[in-house]
Amino acid sequence: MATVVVVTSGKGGVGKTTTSAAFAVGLAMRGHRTVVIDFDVGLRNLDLIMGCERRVVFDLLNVIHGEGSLHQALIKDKRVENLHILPASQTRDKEALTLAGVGEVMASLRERFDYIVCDSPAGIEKGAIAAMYYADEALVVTNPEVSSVRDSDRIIGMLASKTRRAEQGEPEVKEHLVVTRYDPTRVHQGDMLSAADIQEILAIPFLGVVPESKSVLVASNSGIPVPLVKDSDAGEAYLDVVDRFLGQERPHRFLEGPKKGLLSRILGI
Amino acid sequence: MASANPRTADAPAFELKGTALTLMVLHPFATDAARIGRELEERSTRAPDFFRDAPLVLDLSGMQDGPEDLDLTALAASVRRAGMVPVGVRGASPRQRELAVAAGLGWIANPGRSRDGADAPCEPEVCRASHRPVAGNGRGPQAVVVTQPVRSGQRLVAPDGDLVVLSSVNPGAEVLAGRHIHVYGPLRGRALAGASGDTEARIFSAQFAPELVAIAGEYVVSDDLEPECLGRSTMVYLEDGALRIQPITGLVVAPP
Repeated sequence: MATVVVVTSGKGGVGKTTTSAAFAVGLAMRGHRTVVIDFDVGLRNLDLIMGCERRVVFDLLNVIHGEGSLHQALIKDKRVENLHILPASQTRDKEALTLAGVGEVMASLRERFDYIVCDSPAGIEKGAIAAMYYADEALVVTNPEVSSVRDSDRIIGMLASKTRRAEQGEPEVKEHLVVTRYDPTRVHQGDMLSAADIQEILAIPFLGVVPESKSVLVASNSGIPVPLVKDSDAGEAYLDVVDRFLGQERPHRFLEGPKKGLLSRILGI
Repeated sequence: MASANPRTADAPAFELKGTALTLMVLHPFATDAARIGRELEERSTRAPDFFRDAPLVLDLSGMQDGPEDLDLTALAASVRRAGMVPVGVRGASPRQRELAVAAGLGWIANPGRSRDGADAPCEPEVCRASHRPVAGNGRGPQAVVVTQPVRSGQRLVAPDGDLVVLSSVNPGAEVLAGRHIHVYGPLRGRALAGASGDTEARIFSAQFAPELVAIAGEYVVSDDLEPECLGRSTMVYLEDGALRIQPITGLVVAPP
């Protein structure tokens, strides 16, 4: 039986798509049959981040409206075994997304995959609700910054009330906190909220931090999900997040910055 | 499980059952369908979740002047525009039955009066389903106890009694009570006690950092609070019509 995981945040630009791509790649690398779905109708990005934008023929809305089969729409990733992508429509309106239609697609996907990762659009409107509606678990992506925390709090409230599990009185969606763009130096300086501060406010289980990293921009522009980039701290952080999600212990290695060498400390750099 | 296999050709495709349902009933006083529609839309915007997609019955029995002048088709359209679903008409003449059918509404022949002969006024259920009402002795208002954080954008109302929050009230959240509000965690949102006008109501908070507090309509915003009273265990009450903010000593809340 598949697990549906929504990657959501409320706030825009915090790293949902980067996280969805990295999380899906990580799950597939650990041997699980995984599909990642873009729910951002009209502003699709997941295909770019996954590097499959030149292979999109059919999308989620085509499948919902019967204009293409799921088999035709699913794009197999060329680098990682076990991984497929279901892109969003770029030309249609998000009004064309229906909960019933999404439900049917989910039912078909549940038969073929172990994990269904739903990349949510920003906001709390129809697209975000469609992405979270069938979720079993959720990654709440938050930047260490007050408006992102406020918006994440809002979205956590919605996970507890606007999902199918909430409406049917089933066990609640399991929420996990992922803090992205973390910079321990700025946390020490007092500019940035610490992971502990964010946990205290949001009060959901903590899955890990992903450090602010130059490799993320490079990865996006190249269409390579971050965990596939060599020597990327963000990539390694995402793999740690996946392993913790799968139940394994992993020390939190990105809460503190890299240790400065003696020379750097003497020179004050 | 169902006894008949629906795929067998002779097995029935459905079953008809009688049931008793609780429905909202609209009793028009005027024949102006447009005006009824406007007022209905206005009322439904105040509690949209309660009214949205709700089935509605039109009861014409109380109309003094010319119920036959009421344009049922227009009224049904007004009801739909306000987000509800008109399902039927009751308490009217055979002539109106034709009009009802023409308007696509069902005809409820037997009015089925409630015990005291009148329908009770309809108020939206304002408390979230996740609350657990404290079992009282049957007299007096019930307290509502909430154990989960009240998240940004959520609004919790305990219309008659006290509201007790055993977790946090986050920024952007709002809690209201007819009587007292007790927050045994950080109060970072809005708290409005004595919401129906009870000036004796108080607000108690283990960690006081609200956006706004109010008692019986008297309010103060965060900006106008003295910095010394923030972050501590605090009680807010009304004295001579003015809000007083007083530290509570001796209340220690252990971290989770």
